[in-house]
Amino acid sequence: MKIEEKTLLDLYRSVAIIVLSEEKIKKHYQEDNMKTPMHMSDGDENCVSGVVECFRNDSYFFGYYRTHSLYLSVSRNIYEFFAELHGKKTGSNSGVAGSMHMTSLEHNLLSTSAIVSSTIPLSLGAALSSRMKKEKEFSVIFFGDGAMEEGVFHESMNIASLMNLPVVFVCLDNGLAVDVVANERRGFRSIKQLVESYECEYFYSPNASATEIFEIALQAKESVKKKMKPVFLHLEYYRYLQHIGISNDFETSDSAFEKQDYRSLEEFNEYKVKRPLKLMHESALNYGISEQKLDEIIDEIRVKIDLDFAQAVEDDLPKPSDLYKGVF
Amino acid sequence: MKMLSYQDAINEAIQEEMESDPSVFVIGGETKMFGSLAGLEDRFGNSRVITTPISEDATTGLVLGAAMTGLRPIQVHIRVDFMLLAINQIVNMISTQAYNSNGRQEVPLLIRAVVGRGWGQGFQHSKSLHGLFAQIPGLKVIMPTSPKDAKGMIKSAIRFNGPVICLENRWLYWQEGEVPEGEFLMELNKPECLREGNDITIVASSWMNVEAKLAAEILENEHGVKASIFDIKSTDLSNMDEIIDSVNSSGKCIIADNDWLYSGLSGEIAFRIHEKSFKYLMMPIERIGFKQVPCPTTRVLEDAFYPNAFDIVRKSELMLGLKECSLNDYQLYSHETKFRGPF
Repeated sequence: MKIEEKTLLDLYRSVAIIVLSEEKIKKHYQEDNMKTPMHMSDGDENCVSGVVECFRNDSYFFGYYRTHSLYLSVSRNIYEFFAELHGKKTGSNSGVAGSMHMTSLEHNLLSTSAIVSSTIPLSLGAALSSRMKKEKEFSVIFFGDGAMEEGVFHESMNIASLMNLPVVFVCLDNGLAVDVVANERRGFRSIKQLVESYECEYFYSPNASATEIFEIALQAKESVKKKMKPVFLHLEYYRYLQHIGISNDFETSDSAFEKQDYRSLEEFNEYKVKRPLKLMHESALNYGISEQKLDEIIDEIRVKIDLDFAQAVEDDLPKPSDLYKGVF
Repeated sequence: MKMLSYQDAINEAIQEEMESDPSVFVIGGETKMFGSLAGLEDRFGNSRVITTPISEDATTGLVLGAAMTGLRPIQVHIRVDFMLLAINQIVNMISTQAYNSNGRQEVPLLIRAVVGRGWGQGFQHSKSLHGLFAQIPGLKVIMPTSPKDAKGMIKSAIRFNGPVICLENRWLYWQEGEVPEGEFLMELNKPECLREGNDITIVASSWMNVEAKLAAEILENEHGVKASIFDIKSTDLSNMDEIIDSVNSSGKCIIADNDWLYSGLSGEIAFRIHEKSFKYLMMPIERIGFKQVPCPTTRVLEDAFYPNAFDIVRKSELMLGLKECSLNDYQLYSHETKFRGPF
């Protein structure tokens, strides 16, 4: 099946917006105007863009603390993204969320959380709503592989399967929980077996372009419709940076709490040549999009990022009296 | 008006709300809830009265997700203690979602939980924890005392667009009282004066209102003392004016809280009164509540753990400079001598 050109360009744009926005963060973070614990998406751009593009119009979305790719992919709102990181009133969440809690209600990205696994069960409730109210069809929840070691993950898989809820579990697997590698914390044999024991169809993709992820997501969507059961997308990617902050482990490190030497330089160098935008770029070229067209898109996004960032810097901060706004 | 038991008043409230609003549904690991949900599954089907696996954490997250997408869930727990399995969802998630959206995200959910007591409930079936929940911004906590409260407050809580925790004392389920028929709503944060008197002011929560009522009768019979009683009804202390007026007039105040005292709601109530009534208080405010230990199982220790009407009488006598009266003619309520009300 060949995807439409418009879809491919949307995927390309989405990946590019995330990658270039995070480049902008890296460039300016040391200036200390973005006072929020930066949890970078660097590496997962293709996974998130591919899934979001597939489920965009008929789903509720939930994420975890790496919100950048999900927020930008769902909303494409670069301006509110940077305003939020600067703690401005004009930010996506009026400055109260920062890097770890960004949401976009108008685009149905309802909740993200700094507490590992905490948004997983929310996706069940939204799935129940989509069945009872029929305003949406699916509920898509993104989480890291470390979340599978939390109890609520298993409770949620069990309930989603038992109640036949249209939940799309998306595990973004970078093999690291902060600085602990998978085989030091997984007491189960395989993710596939685990998930399938909950009668949940399993889909897998290692470090793919957004185009490939989109196609896998389409299959998953069909499975939910046909079987009326949740599905599980196991998407592997490489985390280029430390758990938190803008540094990597090898060329730069400013971590106050991560171990050193928990992963290999060989692996890092291997993935360095498979950067997410490069993967997507190749995918677009293979599809038949011209280099020139792609360059134009990149230029256009860069201009937009510079303008939006500058505006965000200029914007007003919330007033101290805004402190009480939004508490029931 | 008609006479209803507490459990039937809850049942009527939920039934009426489910009838008028198809987005209201009930969910929990045990969906009988001591008769308060009787007949609802037959009437509305198992898609609106949902029995879940024993997964409090996931179910609490589920009701949050449902509330954020247009439904009005009522989650039920047969003991408050079980809510602690979901404390992350309650404290980290439910309380923060509206704030994170600058108030745009509505979170209309109700969590009902029963406070157990007696026949050896012990330390994991007896907590109230309203003091703990009260400390979290973004959560409302209500404690209906009478059948009327149960109907009016639960109906309002279901319609409220933010999260509400409703704590229901097991012993209150047996009482009967007059309840308005049909549409009847009560405010979620309004204390109620249950008894007027100028000699001493008693502020009580949940079951302690029953004890306070007995104490006030004893004080009147034995000493001619007139005590006023205020049922605090919720942990939201923004409507304290009548209580303050009463304390300003009596100059003496006892807070009887159905919870631990240490760092609890009673301390907050005392502080609010102290702030407003400082120059009228004739002596320090006194507090009566759970002893600062886990609730024991064996009866003799359980009796020592719980505060009761006699404690309020003795404390009042001390504050009023009265000799201790004989309490031989009075009997405390217990699960053997069920409290049948009404107020």
